[in-house]
Amino acid sequence: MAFDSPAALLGAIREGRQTPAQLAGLLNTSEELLRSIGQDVPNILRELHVVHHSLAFAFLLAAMAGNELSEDQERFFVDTSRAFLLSCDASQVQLAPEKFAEICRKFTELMVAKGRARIAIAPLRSAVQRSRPSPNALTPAHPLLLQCCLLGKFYGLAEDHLYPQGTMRAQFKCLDVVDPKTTGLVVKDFFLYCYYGGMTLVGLKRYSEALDFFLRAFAVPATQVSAIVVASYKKYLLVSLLLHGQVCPIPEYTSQVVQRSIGSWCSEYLEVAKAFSTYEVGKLEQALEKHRSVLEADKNFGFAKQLIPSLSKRVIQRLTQTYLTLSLDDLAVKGGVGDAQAVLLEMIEKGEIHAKISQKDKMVAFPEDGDARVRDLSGGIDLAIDLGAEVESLDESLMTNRTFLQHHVTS
Amino acid sequence: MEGDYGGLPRTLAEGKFTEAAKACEQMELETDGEEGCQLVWVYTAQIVCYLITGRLNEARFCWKRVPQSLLGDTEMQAVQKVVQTLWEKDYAGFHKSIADHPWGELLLPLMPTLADETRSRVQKIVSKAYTTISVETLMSMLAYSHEKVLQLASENAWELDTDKQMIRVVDAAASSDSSTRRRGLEQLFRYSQSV
Repeated sequence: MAFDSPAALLGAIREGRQTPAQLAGLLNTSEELLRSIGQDVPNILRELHVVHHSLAFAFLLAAMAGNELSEDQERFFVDTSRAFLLSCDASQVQLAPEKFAEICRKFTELMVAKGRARIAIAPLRSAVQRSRPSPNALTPAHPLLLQCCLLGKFYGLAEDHLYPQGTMRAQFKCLDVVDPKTTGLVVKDFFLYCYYGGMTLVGLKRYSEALDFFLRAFAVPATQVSAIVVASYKKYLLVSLLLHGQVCPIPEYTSQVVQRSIGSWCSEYLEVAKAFSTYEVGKLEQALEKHRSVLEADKNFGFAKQLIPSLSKRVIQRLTQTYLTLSLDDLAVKGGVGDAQAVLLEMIEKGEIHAKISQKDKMVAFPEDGDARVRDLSGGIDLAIDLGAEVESLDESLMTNRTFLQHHVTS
Repeated sequence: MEGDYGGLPRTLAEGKFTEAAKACEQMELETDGEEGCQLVWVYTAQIVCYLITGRLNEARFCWKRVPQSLLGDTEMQAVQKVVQTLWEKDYAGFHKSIADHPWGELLLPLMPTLADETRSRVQKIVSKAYTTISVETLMSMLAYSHEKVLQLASENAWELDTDKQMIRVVDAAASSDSSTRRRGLEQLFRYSQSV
């Protein structure tokens, strides 16, 4: 039976005779009433307790979020949502994940529009903690939290929310996408999680992990190309140039539509990549200047400019394959860098090359690094073993899942 | 800049720099108002903690968060100098910037730790990157006296060249020993199990 008046609604909530689940059912059937009382929501909320009546709070605030708000209502919504996100009862709000997500989205939108992203971080972090059904589940609040962290320049904090807890920060890991019915997650949330996650890691200069996140965003099965997918691919191009000196091919498992059309959306970027592949700094600079307006519009110009020093490093890296030893002066000329020693030091520190500088003879030697290769290889094998085990356990859990079997095996 | 710093000195004294940085970050997040947290030490201590734990990027982002109104503070500027020199890998400049400023009571005990951490990082890079390095370069990179550099060399079994100007660097990490071989055996066992 649906509620027919605000008074009945308020009465039932305050009496608290129903279990939260029953109340959720009742509120779900009262959509119409909730929509019609938009103006009265503040008055009703004032009668309720934010923790004891979290479920009702979620429905009422969500009803408010769906409407156009006046300035006063906006202020009320923002203040109330903030208190709500910081202190609501997790078990209650998890009964209404979609409502909760709606509140988070509206709250973030208003805060970001007012340039108050930093203040939104603490409530959204609390929202993540309260709305996830399991510790590693991805929720709609995740991308919102990441967005606010990026805007507020809290990169370290954003990084805390990228990976499953307790595991090593291993590659190929991301938060679990669990049943959307329990989290209210939509596809766009996943896209944004990948995109903002990639941006976070770029800021922290952890490029290989960033590459992984951007890859996830456009490799998701898709029937059409979205703006987030294109934006992710552009960043993927730039990161892959920085990291590998070339554009990594799109994996075969990427959707056909993305594979076929993505290039046409970023022709300027592909030209930059082509200029990069000539190994001539001049040509790269030209290409960057030529497409400056496009890159700037995408807010990628500053990032793209990092390709120039990176190309010098590529040149040096190539020299290590040609020469066994080289004088520091020659290296500076061939690599087109001013202070060869400084560049070498940086590259050696990051493990980009294996080299030994001798200040005595003013030479640099490029010895074979057998150990590094063994390390890389054994790292790769370890990863493969771990992934294999994970796939196996996933396979097992699917094969014993009743719903899956009913849907896909018997039919 | 007086005050009890919200229990921070204790966390710092216990060497829990990651926790201390988190606590400062939390204070920033809890601050209402558009202008952000107006306490200098919340930023300076946080930045130094990031630097000690080797998180230069986060130190830089924290620096970018400092509100305009606090940028004129002398300690804030001194911290900026420290971040900047490290960012540019100007190690000589870094040690000079630490020595030049009369640090306040909160940061003063942290500075020797930061200097030492940075020295040990530089030392690692040196042993990875050089076969021979001049005594002079080492002196400036580590801000060490001539004697201290020689002492460091002998501690690491680095030989002094005949003309006493150059040091032969030996990379201790690269030389393999029995423990790596044992690790190899364990790995082999794991591989064969999974196959």
